[in-house]
Amino acid sequence: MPLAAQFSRRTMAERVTMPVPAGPGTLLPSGAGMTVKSGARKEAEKMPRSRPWIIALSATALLFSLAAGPLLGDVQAQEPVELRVWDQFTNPAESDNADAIYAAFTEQNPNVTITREAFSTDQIRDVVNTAISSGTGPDLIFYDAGPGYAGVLADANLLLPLDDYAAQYGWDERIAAPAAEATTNDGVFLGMPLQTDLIGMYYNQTLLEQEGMTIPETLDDLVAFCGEATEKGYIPIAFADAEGYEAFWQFSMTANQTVGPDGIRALLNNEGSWDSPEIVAAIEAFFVTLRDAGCLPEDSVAIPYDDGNSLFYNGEALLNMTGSWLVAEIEEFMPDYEVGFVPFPEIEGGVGRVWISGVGSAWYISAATQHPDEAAAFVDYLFSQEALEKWIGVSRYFVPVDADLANIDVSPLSSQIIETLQAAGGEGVQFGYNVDVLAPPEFNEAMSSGFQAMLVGDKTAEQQATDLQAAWEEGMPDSEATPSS
Amino acid sequence: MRTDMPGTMLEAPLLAPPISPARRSWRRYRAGILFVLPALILYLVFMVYPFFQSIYFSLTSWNGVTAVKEWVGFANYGKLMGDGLFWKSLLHTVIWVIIGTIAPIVVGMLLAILLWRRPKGFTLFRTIFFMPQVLSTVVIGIVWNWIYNPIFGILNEALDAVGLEDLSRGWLGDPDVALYAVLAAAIWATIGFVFVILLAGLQNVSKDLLEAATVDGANVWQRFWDVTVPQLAGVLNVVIALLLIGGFSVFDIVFVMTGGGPANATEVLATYTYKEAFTQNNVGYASALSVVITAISLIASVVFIRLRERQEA
Repeated sequence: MPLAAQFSRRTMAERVTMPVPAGPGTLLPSGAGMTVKSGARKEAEKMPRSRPWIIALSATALLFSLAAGPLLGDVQAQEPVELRVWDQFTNPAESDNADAIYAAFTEQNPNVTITREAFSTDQIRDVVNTAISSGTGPDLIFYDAGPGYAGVLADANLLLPLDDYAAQYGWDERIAAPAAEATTNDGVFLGMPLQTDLIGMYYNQTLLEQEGMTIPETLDDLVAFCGEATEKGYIPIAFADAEGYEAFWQFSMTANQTVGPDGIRALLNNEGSWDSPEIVAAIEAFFVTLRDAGCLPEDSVAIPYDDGNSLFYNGEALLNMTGSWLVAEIEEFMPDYEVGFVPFPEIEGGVGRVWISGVGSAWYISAATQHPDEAAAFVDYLFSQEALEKWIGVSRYFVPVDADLANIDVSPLSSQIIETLQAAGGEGVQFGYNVDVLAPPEFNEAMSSGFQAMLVGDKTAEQQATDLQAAWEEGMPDSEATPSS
Repeated sequence: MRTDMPGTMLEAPLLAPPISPARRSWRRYRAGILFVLPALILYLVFMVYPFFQSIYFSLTSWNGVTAVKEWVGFANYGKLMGDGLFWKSLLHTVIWVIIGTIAPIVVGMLLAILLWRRPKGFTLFRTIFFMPQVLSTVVIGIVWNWIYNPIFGILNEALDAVGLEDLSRGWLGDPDVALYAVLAAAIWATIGFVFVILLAGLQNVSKDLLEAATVDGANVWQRFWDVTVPQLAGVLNVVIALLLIGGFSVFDIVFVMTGGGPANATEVLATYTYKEAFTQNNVGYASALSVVITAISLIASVVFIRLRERQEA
């Protein structure tokens, strides 16, 4: 058998050669001139009749493919989405509250899964830069606003601009202008601030009344108060500085008095010097005067922040100089005490008592997120009335957006803080700047190590002021402080 | 035609073509190479490449997030030479290496000798001594923080209870003692490792030599120093080298317990490098620090090993 025939399903007998008609290239409808198998003529005559259904089938396929895009798009919108969220709610009550808020969002958006990781403030500052810049990090972060923190990510274009979403969801109409300014970088709105902090002096009103003591109004009053408290067996001020950042707030309180909020604003805008007599006076007010007067716990540099707060909670200390973020814990751990909150006592020669205020942390979306719309929807939910009732009512955050407080159980302490924040810009109430949030990392490191050295007696106020100025100059290129007006 | 006559096909025997030396080597070592290859790839990817990448970063002023890494040459190394905190960290690290190497060996050796003869309770004591080694450094740091806590720490309470109130202090808040307080915790955690290694080494010490030394009138110290220690030379070399390398790169326990404070009193090279990289956003400068740490620990290890080799020779 010839080789070709061996590879054909048809035998030689089945292959019939039709006579070739005259004229080159002529192909008759019957298929004459083509080599076809026996019976092919009948098949050739059938071929034109099979074309219509093929054409119809092809047209249907074409129409389907055109419609498939939108159909598939709808399917993709319902595809599962995972949002990785990094927050700082490590306190058990705050963590549970955050879980409840996230769960409520996923209940309303079943295709979205929230994968949450909680970090302490120190931890997230150490890891977030690497994570976000890798491009495979979290979709959303709850992170410190400020040039040394979120500002670093913003400068590297690693945060998603939110201007369009702000317009879409109406955030720009709800958020307080100073808070929005704190999370705006080079005119681009980048974060939704959840916390507005107020820094001042908590006092245990119950114990003060019990001991017949009054709240100190001036620095001299405070020194006398410390002596009296010590005699009665109390620790005057629950100050702990093992981590180093606790001293930031004390410096902010005193410096805003001696230099004035306008002066601090100028310094943060690179006008003036931190190595000035006013700054030296501010440093001395807390880290020399109060230290030498026995106002601070012994070995305060060895006491962690949480342990220091515990001294206030259990009534061993009468005063605690820290921020409004502690309200939830105070209400939880001091149910039997009445607690008040006032600005740092007046320093002679200063501008008077000043509340320290600023944006704490805000919600940011990574520029590398694969799900920007879902992330924005999640942020919008976090600021819904439903969520705000939990943030304010349970975690005791003071959120700088419009919220209906009618259904929120607000304690007297929280009410006082809310009223104080609402009085911002009014007469008779001065608000200053939380320096560490607006300063470069080099400056914060100089504050941390330098104030610890002062507390153990290894450094003078003049030396510390000089070091602060040097650190500011070193970090100045990276510093783009935008203090809230 | 006969094929076994000269000039026929059978004149030249049928031989395989000659094998090149390279091919011969590949055949000989092929299996070994293939077995080592996965580990080698991991080593190259996660150790060698990052090492050379760190050297590159050290020649830039990169902040760790921007896409552009500005070339600054050796400026970071120049800055390092004039950085007071670098020299302070180096001093702390040297103190750590010296005390952190000698103390575990002395205590570990003592414990190993005590259990050498397998006294009653050998298994229990061996377990107790080794127990700290199985704990994570974070756990050790947290627990020792509680021990040192000036408010509720048991160390101060114990000192007060026995009338030594003058010694009570904020151990981790006093710049003069904080480094040694952290070091004590680290030594406590390391003794178990040294103990187990030396105990194993003591099993190979010749008892006949010891008996002979005893017969010759050698006292306890002479038997230990002149008979036992020389036979532990190999084991001691390994232990000391590991402690040296670990000492130069110590990070975790310092980070957990003090973070380098108070006022940089416990700052060591590794914690300083970490701060520069992840807190100060100076990845370029931190990379220069890490290169210097590597060079110092490498030099120290090589010098030590060479000295020991000369002594043994």
